[in-house]
Amino acid sequence: MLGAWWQDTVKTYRGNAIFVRDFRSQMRGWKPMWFWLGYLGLILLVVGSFYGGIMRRGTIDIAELQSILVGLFVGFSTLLSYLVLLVAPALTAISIVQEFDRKSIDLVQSAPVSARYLLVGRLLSAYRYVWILLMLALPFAAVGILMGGFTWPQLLATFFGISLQGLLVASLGLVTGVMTRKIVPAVIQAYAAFVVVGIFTGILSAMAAAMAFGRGGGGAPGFGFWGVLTPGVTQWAVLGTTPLGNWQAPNLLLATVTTLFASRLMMLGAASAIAPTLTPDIGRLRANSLVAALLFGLMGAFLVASLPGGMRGGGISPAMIMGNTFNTLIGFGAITVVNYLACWSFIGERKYQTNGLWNIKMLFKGTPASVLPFLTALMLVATLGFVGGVFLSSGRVSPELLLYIPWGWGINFFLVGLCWWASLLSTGNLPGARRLGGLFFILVMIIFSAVIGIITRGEGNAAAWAWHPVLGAYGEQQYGPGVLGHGLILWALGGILLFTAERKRRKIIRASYE
Amino acid sequence: MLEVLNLHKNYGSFTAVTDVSFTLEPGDVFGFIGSNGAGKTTTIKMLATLLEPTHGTARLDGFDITEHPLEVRKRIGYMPDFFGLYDDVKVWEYLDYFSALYSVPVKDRPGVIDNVLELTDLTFKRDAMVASLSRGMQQRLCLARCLVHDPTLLLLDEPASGLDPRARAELKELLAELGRMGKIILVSSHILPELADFCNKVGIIERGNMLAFGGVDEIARGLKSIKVLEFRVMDRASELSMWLHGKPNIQNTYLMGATTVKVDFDGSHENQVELVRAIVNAGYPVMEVREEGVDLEDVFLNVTQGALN
Ligand SMILES: Nc1ncnc2c1ncn2[C@@H]1O[C@H](COP(=O)(O)OP(=O)(O)O)[C@@H](O)[C@H]1O
Ligand SMILES: [Mg+2]
Repeated sequence: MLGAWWQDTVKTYRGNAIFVRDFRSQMRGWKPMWFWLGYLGLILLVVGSFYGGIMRRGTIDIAELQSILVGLFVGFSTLLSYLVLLVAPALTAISIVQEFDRKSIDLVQSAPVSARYLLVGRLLSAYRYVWILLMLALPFAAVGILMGGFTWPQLLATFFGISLQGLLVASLGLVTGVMTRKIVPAVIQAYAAFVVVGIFTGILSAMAAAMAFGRGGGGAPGFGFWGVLTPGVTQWAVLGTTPLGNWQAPNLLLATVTTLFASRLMMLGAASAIAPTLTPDIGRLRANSLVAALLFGLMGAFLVASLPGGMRGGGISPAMIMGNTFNTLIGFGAITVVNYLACWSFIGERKYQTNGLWNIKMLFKGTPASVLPFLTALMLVATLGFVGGVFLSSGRVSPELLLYIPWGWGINFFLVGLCWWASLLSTGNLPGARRLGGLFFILVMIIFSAVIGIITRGEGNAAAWAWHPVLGAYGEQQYGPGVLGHGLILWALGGILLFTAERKRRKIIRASYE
Repeated sequence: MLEVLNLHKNYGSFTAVTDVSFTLEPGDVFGFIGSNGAGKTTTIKMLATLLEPTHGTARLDGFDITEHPLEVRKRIGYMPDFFGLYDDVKVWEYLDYFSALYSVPVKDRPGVIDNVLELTDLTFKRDAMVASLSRGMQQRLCLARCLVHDPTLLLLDEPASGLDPRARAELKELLAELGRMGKIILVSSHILPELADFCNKVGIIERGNMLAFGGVDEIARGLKSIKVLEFRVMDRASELSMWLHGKPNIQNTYLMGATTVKVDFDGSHENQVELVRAIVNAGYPVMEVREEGVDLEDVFLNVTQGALN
C-alpha cells in the first residue's frame, strides 16, 4: 500500500509526461513569442518611465534616489503579482477544460496514471510558466539593485513569494477547471475564488498590520505571513517573521508550507472529482484534510492569540476576536468547501443513498453515505485544533468563545442542507450538483446581504448587519440574535433543508419502485 | 485472458448494460455488435476502468477491474469512439507522451515509437503535426498510441466508423495482424459486415442484454429458426406447403409461387435428412432442395428482432 503510493509519487514528480508535453506546446510557434514581447513591453513601459524620470532629474541626492527606487520596487512587484495572478489560474483552468473538451481525458485516464499525476503535471507546468514570466522580468528589476535601491535577497524573496501566489491560484484553477466544462466560466470562477481568498488574506494582513501599529511605533509594520500571499504587500512581508507562540517564524517559510498544503488539498479535491472510479485519491484527500483542519485550527489560534494586545480595548473582547477567527476558519474556510465539493460520488448512490445517510465505516470513501460523518469529523478536528491552540497559547479558554462553536458548525450544517437539495435537483449529474450547491450558497449570501442592504439603505446600520449569518460575526453583539442565536437559526434552517430534502428523496425512491 | 462476470451498469434508474458475461482468450478477435444505444460503449468503458460498474466485474489476466484498476490499465489499449488527439504536438511527440504515461523506459521510447509507426504505416508522418493528418491517419495514430506499451487487450470502440473503404480495409488488415500477434481484440460496431470477415468470436448486444456470444459458426448454428430451406417441386406446391405445416422443427411455411415452398427450419442436420426423406416418401415431386446461406447479417437481424418483439 505504502510502496504503491511511493511509486506513484516518484512517477508523478519525476519526468511527468504532462509537464514535458505542455512545455513543447507552450514553446511552439510564434504565439508565445508575441505574448512575451507584449509582456516585456508592458514592463518596459512601466519601468522605463520610472528610470527615465530619474534620469531627467539630472542631479538627485542618494537618499531621494533610494526612496524612489523602493517605490519602483513596490510598484513593480505589485504589477508582477497581478500579472501572475491573471495568468496562472487561466493556464490550469484552460488546460483542464481543454482536456475534457478534446476528450483526451479518457485517454489519459485509461493509462496507468492517477488523477493526481495529470493534475500535478498541469500544476507544475503552470508554476514553470510563472517562473518564466518572473525571469523575463528579472533584468529590469536588477537595474534597480545596481542603483542601490533594494537588495538581491529582497528581490529574490519577493519573486519567490509571487511564485507562491501563482502556485496557489494555479491550483484554484485546477479546481474550477474540473467544476465546469467551459473555458470562460472556469477562468472567471478561478478569479472569483481568488478574490474571495484575497479578501480573506487581505483582512488578515490588515488586521495584523493594524495590531502591530497599535502596539505603538514598533518600526516597520509587522506583516503576518499572509502578507506574502497578498499582492501589493508581498515585498513588505517576505523577509519578516510571524510570532507563533514564542517562536518568530520566517514568513516565507510559513507561506510556503501553507501554499503547498493548500494547493495539495485543492489538487486532491480536483483529483477525486475527476477520477472516473473510486480512487485512493479520495481517501488521501480526506486524510489530508483532517490533518489540514487540525493544523489550520491550531495555527489560527496561535497566530491570533500571539498578536499584540492593541485591539483588546474598545469593547472588543479577546473571546470575540477568537470567536470570529474560529467562524472564519470553520464556517467558510476553503478547506471545508473544497472537501465538501469533492465529497460526492457514485451517481446512482447519491440519489438513492443505498448505503444510508450516515455510514462511519466509509469515512475515507467518496460515497455520499460518508459525507456527513466526514464533514463532522473535519469540523470536530478543526474545532479541537482551534480550542487547543487557544488553550496552549493563552492558558485558558474563555466560555464566551465556546458560544461561537454552534455558529461555525451551523454554517456548515446549512451548507449540507443546501447541497443535499442540489444533489436531488440535478438528478444523477455530479458536476451539476456541485455547481448548483455552490450557486445556492452564493445566492443565499447575496440575498441576505441584499435584504440587509435594502433595510439599511446603504447606511452603516450595525443593528441590521448583526443579523447577517456570516458577516454578523464582525458586528456588535448587543444587536441581532447574538452569537448563540445565530447558531440556532442556522441549525434550524439547515435542519429544515435536510428534513425536506430527505422527504423529497424518499418520495423519488418510492416513485421509482412504482 | 479476459473474463467478464455479470457486468452491469445503471444510469440512475435506467439500465444500460444488464449482467453481461463472456470470456476471451489470447488471439481472439471479438466482434461486439449492437445498434446505437445498445450498451457497447458503456461496456467498453467499464472494461477500460473509466466507469464504475453498478455490480459485477471483469478480470484481465487475473486482475480485477474494480480492485486493481491501475494493473488493468497497464494491460489494455483503449481506443474510444472519438480521437481525443492533442493537435498542438507532432506525431512522434504524441506517441512519446503516451509512452511516458505508460512508463516505457526513456531509452526504449525511440525504438517503440518507430515500431508502432511502422506497424500502422505512419513512419513517413513522424515529424508532422497531428492536426495535419487525414482522418484515416489520425485513426491509425490512435491505434499506434494504444500499442506503445504492448497491451494484452485492445478495446476498440467503433474504430471503423467514418473511414473510407480503403482506410477501413487497411484497418481490418492491421487488426487481423494484431490478432495473430496473440492479443485479445475487442472491436465494437453497429454495422455487422464490417466485422464479419475477420472476427473469430461475435457477441450481439441489444438494449444492454448480450443476446448471443460465441464463435461465428457456433452462433449461426446454435440459433433456432434461422435456417431457411427452399423446396422446388414440379407441381402441388400449395399441397406440400399444407403438408409441411406443423411438422417437427418447422416454424413457418411460405408458399413462394406454383413450384416453390420455403420453410423456417430449426432442426439438426439429421432432422433435415429425415424431413427430405419424408417429403419424398409422401410422393411429392421434389426437384431441388436448397439451404439458403446463413450470414451474420441474418443472425444479427434475427437475434435483435427477437429482443425487440
Ligand atoms: N452518462 C449517461 N447517463 C445516462 N444514460 C447514458 C449515459 N451514457 C449512456 N447512456 C445511455 O445508455 C445506453 C447505452 O449507451 P452506449 O453504451 O453509449 O451505447 P452504444 O455505444 O452501444 O451506442 C443508451 O441508451 C444511452 O442513452
Ligand atoms: Mg457507442
